[in-house]
Amino acid sequence: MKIALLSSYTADLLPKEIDKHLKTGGIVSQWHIALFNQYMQEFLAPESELKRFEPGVIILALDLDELISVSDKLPQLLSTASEQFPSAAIIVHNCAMLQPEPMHLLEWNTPDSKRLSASKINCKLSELTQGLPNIYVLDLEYLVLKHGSENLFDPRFYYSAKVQFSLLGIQKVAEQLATAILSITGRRKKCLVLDLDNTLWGGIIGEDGIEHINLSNDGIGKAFYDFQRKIEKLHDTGTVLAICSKNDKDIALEAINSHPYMVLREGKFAAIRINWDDKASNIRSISEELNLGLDSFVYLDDSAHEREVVRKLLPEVTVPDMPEDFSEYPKFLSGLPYFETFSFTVEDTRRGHMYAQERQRKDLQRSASSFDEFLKSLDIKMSVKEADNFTIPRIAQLTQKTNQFNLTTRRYAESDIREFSNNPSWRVFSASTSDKLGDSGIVGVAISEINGDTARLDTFLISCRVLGRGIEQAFLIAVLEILKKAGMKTCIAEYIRTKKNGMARDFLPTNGFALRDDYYMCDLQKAPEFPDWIEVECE
Amino acid sequence: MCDVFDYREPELPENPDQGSIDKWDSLEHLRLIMVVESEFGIKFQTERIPHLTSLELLLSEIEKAHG
Repeated sequence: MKIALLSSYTADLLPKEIDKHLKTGGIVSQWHIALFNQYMQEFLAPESELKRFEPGVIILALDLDELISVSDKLPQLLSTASEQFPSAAIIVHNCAMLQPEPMHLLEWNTPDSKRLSASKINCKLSELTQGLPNIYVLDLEYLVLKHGSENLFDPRFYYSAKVQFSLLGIQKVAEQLATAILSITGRRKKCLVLDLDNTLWGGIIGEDGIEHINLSNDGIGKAFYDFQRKIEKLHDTGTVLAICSKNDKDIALEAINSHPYMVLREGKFAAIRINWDDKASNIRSISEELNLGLDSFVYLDDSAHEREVVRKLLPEVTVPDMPEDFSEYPKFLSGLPYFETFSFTVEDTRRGHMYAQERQRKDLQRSASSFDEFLKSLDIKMSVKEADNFTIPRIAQLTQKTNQFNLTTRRYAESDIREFSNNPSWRVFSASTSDKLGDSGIVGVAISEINGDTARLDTFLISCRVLGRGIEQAFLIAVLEILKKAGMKTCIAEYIRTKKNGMARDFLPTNGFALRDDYYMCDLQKAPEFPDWIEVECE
Repeated sequence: MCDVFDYREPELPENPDQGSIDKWDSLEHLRLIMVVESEFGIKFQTERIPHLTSLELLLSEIEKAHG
């Protein structure tokens, strides 16, 4: 990944630290560090080195004094940067008073003081970036609030070489920047698996009983209540929750569903394993049920022994140590970087409900007398539309996250999708489905490039949550229909094999495409018919 | 030193100093100082920092600080 660093102070010590964290997320970086204080020229000059470097991420590091002196030019600087580098993610950190001013009582009460200026600039940064989709603000001020300017700033390095931070400062800022980069590039973890006893509540439900477990809105039990509330927040922004606990299932579920201070009720969990089997097999089984890779899992358990077992048997699962004292659980949860994100989509907020619906569909399937009858009874409806501002974030998200039913695994950021959408030689389609049991939202993406009367299918993917119901075929046929109506005669497509997309290998040849050397071709006059259990609506 | 300059122990030159190690520029020097301070729990004076450009000089400062 190409990362550029532009700064008004000596920030060169950051890249090495950032790389340490990026490596654990599987990212190998290539850096371009602009000359000192050359950020303006790099952004504005048409032939700058920055332009030639073609960065995927640009970090803009400006100190407080610089931000104050260019504060009038900020709106223009940011919008130009956003326009000139539409396919890069630009991360700019806000500012903080690292070195105190004399007479600090006066600072907050004087209109143009440094302190008030810093505050105003930070608010302004926040507003300006709302309308610029590829600019993200990193909250440096929050880091200073958390660690203290005394700990993050070292005057000796500032005066020696204009380095804004102490060693701790460099480490903390680098950590935050790495978390931001991992989040923007879709490396966010997807599933949080939780133990119950002494993790979600104090005590052991099987021994203490529902009245005596420690979980309340008052007193020390509030630590567990707050811990659950913070986990709920992860759920509401798209993280999938699961339970893995050694317990009697009925007793545990009773507590989960009827304890007055239980925040995380049964319906919030996508998968539940409450039994006496070993944790590793249970977690693996959850991974299979949810169709999510173990490398996207985080497991929390108060028992050091259980954590070690899972670490050894399932090395791809992230198992952080938990604090000894449960009062620190809420703070600990807030400090986990794995689920960080700059924004979330409507799909994210509904993910929890959708998993509950999925469990209902599986029950329906078990009771139907044949697979065909099951499919017909679902009443599946699909809607195929061209991308618009509202759907672009979800479309980009799907290209970043979908590994299994993905013909070419090309990863795109929101800015890329926007570019395709605005380009007359490209078409971006999304498929949304719903059935009798609920709405699955946007589940498929197809991106096509037009060349004369031939359309090339650059991207075709379907979310694993709706596979096996003919939705893949219906979407492909719908896209081919639309292309045919637009005057296309042929469609070519590729299948690029990866470790995870084996299931899509035969899709093209079994749906009207013939193999020609290293790509597939379909004559649009002879495209196949829609499956009869799906009602398709195209725009 | 090995961590800061990416060396494996036996490869480190005999008398490591700013001349004999390529990577040891003024910026990496600051990084080295920061790491040494953190490891040994000491703080160097601002004027001394630019002069501590060899393993020998660093070791003598560390000994002085630890009494």
